[in-house]
Amino acid sequence: MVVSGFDLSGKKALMVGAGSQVGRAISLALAEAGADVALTSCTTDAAEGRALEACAGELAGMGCRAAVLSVDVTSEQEVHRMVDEAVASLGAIDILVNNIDLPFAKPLVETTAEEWARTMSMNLTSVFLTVKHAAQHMLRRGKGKIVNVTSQLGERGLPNSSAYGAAKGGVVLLTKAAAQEWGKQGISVNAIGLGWMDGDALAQSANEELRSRLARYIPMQRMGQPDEVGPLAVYLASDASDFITGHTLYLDGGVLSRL
Amino acid sequence: MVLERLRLDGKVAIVTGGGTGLGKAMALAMAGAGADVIVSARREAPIEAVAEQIAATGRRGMAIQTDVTDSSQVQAMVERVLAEFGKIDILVNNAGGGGGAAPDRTLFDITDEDWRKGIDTNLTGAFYCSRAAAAHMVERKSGSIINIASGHGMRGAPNSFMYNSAKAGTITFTKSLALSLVGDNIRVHCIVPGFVAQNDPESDEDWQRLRERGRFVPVGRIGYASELGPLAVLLASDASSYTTGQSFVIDGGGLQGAIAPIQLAPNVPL
Repeated sequence: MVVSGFDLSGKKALMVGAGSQVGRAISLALAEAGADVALTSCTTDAAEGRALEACAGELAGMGCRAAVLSVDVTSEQEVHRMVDEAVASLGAIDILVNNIDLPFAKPLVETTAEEWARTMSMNLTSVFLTVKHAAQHMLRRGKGKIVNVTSQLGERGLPNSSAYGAAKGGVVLLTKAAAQEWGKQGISVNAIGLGWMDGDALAQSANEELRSRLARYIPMQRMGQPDEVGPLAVYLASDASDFITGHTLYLDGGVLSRL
Repeated sequence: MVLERLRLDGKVAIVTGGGTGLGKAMALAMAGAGADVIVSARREAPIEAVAEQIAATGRRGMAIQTDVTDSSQVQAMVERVLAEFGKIDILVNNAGGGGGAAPDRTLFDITDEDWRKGIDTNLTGAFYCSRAAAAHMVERKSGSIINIASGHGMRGAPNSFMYNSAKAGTITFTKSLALSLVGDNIRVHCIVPGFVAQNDPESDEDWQRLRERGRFVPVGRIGYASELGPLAVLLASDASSYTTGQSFVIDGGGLQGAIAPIQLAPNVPL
């Protein structure tokens, strides 16, 4: 039965960046598919902390073992600690999902070096660090699934997206290279490139008029819903996708197909 | 629940080139997820066998002998499916072939006929089938079309002209078709397989052969037919509701790197 190939029963997932709407949707999908999930928040934001606790409650209600961790994902020491805590709490890490996202949009000439560095460290260095430390654990076990959530802006340029796009494009290339490095060691590394999503901080920051113009530009004439990301994440986390690695799968309502 | 969104219960799928290899694997996967499946191909015996296998799982299976390069045969196939099943939810354009470069046949050896026949089989057939099935899908405002391309459609190879061109055409045809049908709630995707064995490994020797043939593939083996199944089911199902036009590469990492025994020197200091 083909659908049972997507089953994640008994698998342990570390979900980094679980506090956003997309993060919550992926966490729920992983749990629904049977995984135990360690939820990590990347901010000290109180609202996000509450969202994470609520999500952990939902997961626990489904019979899933859920742990909540908080971490500065730009600090190697803290990321190392996060991986250790996730392993201690779940017993292992089979799946790492990186959903770290710090939106940033500014004309290039106005972007300060500090803003550039912050955008890079939150969106790209964080991925390097979490992938590095989770992979060290996975390499010892000889298996693992890594899913990096990135953006269509890592593939296409837009005005005011140079820093953000460079970071997100960096995730696409890190995904390709890491996949080559660990292909024969049982670790697959893939990415999901999101288009314009409802609940996405960048889309949310735009005013209503701009949002409706955006929606008209998207071939599907609407923004993506967070729960539309879940099945793709489950697929890439499951044994059903064992022959896919290094690939970025775009979930974009058709945007990248058009001029 | 997320796994239920992947099910295809009550859906009707057509898989062209469904008698053998990847087409057979995708047809069986869709039946396994709950769909009734029609398989078509030029040769009748293999599709009859697959239809029987599908029927044995409790789903409806049917074989319709069709040459996809003949638009009147394609039209007749679609009409027969509609008469028998009442609708078409999923079309998998898998028929094709003639890949693999023939090193001894250079540019100057390939005839007009070689070129035309190859393009007809690999690209025009998908156009005919999509046109015929989409006419019905547009009325129902629902459908999913999956085109099967190849890694060859994203790279060149010496003395491989027709196949690479046709498969590159398939990838772009997917995008235009997706944009043309998006308003009718029809999603169109492309699966891009790398090196994939036509049959599933059944013995240690088979696995050894996959590893031997795939020693330069990043994951250290080539793929096998039934690995395409879950991806086809995902793209056919409502679980992929926000994707259209995209190509999904399933190739063990080859296109993202280099199918070659190379790497950067492991330690180059800053």
